[in-house]
Amino acid sequence: MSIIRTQDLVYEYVIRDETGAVEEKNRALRSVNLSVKAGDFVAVVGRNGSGKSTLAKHFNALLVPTEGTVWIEAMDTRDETHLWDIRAAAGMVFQNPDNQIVATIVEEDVGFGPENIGVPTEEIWERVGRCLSEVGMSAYAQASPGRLSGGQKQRVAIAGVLAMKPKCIVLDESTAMLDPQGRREVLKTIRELNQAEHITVLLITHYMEETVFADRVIVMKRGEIMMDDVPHAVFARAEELEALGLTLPKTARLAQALRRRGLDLPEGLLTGEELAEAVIALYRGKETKA
Amino acid sequence: MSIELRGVSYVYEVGTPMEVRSLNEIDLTVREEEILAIIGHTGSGKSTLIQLMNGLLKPYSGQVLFNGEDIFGEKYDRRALRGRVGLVFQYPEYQLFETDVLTDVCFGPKNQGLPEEERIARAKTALEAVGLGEEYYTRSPFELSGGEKRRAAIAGVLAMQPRILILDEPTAGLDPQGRAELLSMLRRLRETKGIGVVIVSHSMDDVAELADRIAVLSHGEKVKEGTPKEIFGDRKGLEEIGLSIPEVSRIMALLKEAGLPVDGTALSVEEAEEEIAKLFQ
Repeated sequence: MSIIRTQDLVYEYVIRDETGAVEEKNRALRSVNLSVKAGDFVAVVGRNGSGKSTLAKHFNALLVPTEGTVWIEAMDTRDETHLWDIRAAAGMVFQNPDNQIVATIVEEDVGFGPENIGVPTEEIWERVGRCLSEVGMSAYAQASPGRLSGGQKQRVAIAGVLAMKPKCIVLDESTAMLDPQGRREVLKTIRELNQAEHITVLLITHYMEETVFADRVIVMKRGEIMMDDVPHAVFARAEELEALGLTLPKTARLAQALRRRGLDLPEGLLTGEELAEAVIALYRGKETKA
Repeated sequence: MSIELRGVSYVYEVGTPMEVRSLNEIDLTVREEEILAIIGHTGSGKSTLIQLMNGLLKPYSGQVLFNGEDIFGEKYDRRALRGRVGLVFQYPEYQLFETDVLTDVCFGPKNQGLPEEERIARAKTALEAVGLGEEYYTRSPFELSGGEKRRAAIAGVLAMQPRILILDEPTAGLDPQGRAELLSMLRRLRETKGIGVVIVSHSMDDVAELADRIAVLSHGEKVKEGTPKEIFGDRKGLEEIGLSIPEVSRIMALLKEAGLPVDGTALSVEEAEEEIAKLFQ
C-alpha cells in the first residue's frame, strides 16, 4: 500500500505587491505523479530550485497543492480536518539544527510534541526514553541542546519526530549544514530506523553520495520528475545527471571509467569498499590465470 | 606578502573556571599565490586560528607577523591589516543587507573611506572576479541563488582588495554546481591576481581538489603539515584523529592494504583510473 501518493500535483508560489494584487507566479511543481510504498527509503535529489523542498513540504501539509491532489495514507492534505493526523503520520526534519529545538533540556524537547497532543505523562516519558535510545542519544537526555554538536542536535530533532510515532519521516536537506561526522551519524540513524522499525524515509538532498543506500532515487528538475529508479540505474545515466547539475559519487565515476577501459566490474558497485573488493577480486583472478 | 604565526597559543575565558586552551604553540606560514587548507575535527581550533590571522583575536602567547611585523606591536595599524587580509565567515550570505548587489559590495570600500568612484570601480572588479556580471548589479541580493549569494558576499570582502583571503567552510550548504563554481573561482583568484587563499573545510574532497598545502589540527595542536598527497596518503593517522580521507584515496588505500602494487596517493578519479588500469595491462 502506498503511504504517500500525489496525482498531477502542481504548486505555484504567488508573489503579491502591497495592494495584494498578484505580481508574479512561479510554478515550482509541474504535474508530479508519485507513489511511495510504506517502508521504502526514497531519496529525492535535484539542484537548488528543482522543487524538491516544495515537494517535501506537501507531505505534511505545510503546503497544499495549487492543482492536483496529495494523499497521506488516503487522507487528502487539503482536508483540514485531517491536518493533525497527517502531521502525526509524516514528521519532518529541517535543514538548520538550531531552528527546530525548542526546550532547554534534550528530554523535554523530545517530549514537546507528544505533550502538545495530550499524551498522558507516563507514556510521554516512555516515548522519550525509547526515541532517544533509537537515535543513540540516551546519554544526553539531561543535556542542554546548546552544548550538542550539529549532528547530535539533528538526532535530537529526529527523536522529537519519532516521539509522535510517525509512519514516515521526511528529511529536508537535514545534513546540509553538518560536518562529515554529523552527516554520517544522521544517515546511519535513519537507515537503522528504516530497516529495524520499517519507518518510511524520504530523504531530500543534493548530495548524490547520500542516495546510495536508498531503495529508490527520484531526480527532479524544474518541478518535474526526470528519473525514478534504483540507485545504480540512476548513476548509470551520468551524462544526464551532469546536465542536471548533479555530480555522481566519486566511486560511481571511477567504476564507470574503469568499465570503459574494459575492466569487467559488476554493476551496482556503490561504496568504496565494494569497488575496492571488486578490483581486488579481478586482480587476484588475473594472477591465478597467469 | 605573508602571515607568519610563531608559537601562537590562544586561551578562551582566561582567569575564569571556564578557561579553555584552544590553540597550543602553533607555527604556520601563509603566503601569496598559494592555497592552504586547514583541516581538523569540530572543536580542533580551526576557526580560532583564522581569527588570529587578521588580528580579530589576540594571541595569549606567541606572535602573529604580517610581512615580518608584529601585528600586535605598538602603533601597528590593524585596521589597514584587515583590508590586506580578508576574512569570509561561514554562511557569509547571511550578512548581505543592501537593496542591490552593487551597493552591498561597495559597503567595505565605503568603510575604508574611499571616494564613490573608486568604491564602485572596486566593487565592479570584485564582482567580475567572482563571476557575477553587470546584469547582477541592480538585483536584490535576496533573489539570488544560494551559490550566487555566497559569491556576492565574498565579492564584498574582495572589494577591499586583500592580498590574502581566508574563508571558513566556503562550500558548506551549496549544491554541487554552486560548489564547483566556487572552487574554480578561488583557483582563478590565485592564478590571475596572485592572491593567497586559506580555507577551513570539513570537505576532504574540496581540500584534495584545491589545496597546495594542508595543515592538520587536532585538539589545538598542529599535528601535521604537507601536500595533499602526503596528508591523505596516511589513512590510519588521519582516522586516529577523527578525520576521514577523500573517497578516492580510501579506495586506493584499501587496494594497497590488500597488497596490490599501487602507490596509493591518487587523489582524483582520473589519477585513480590510470593507476588501476595499469594493474591490468
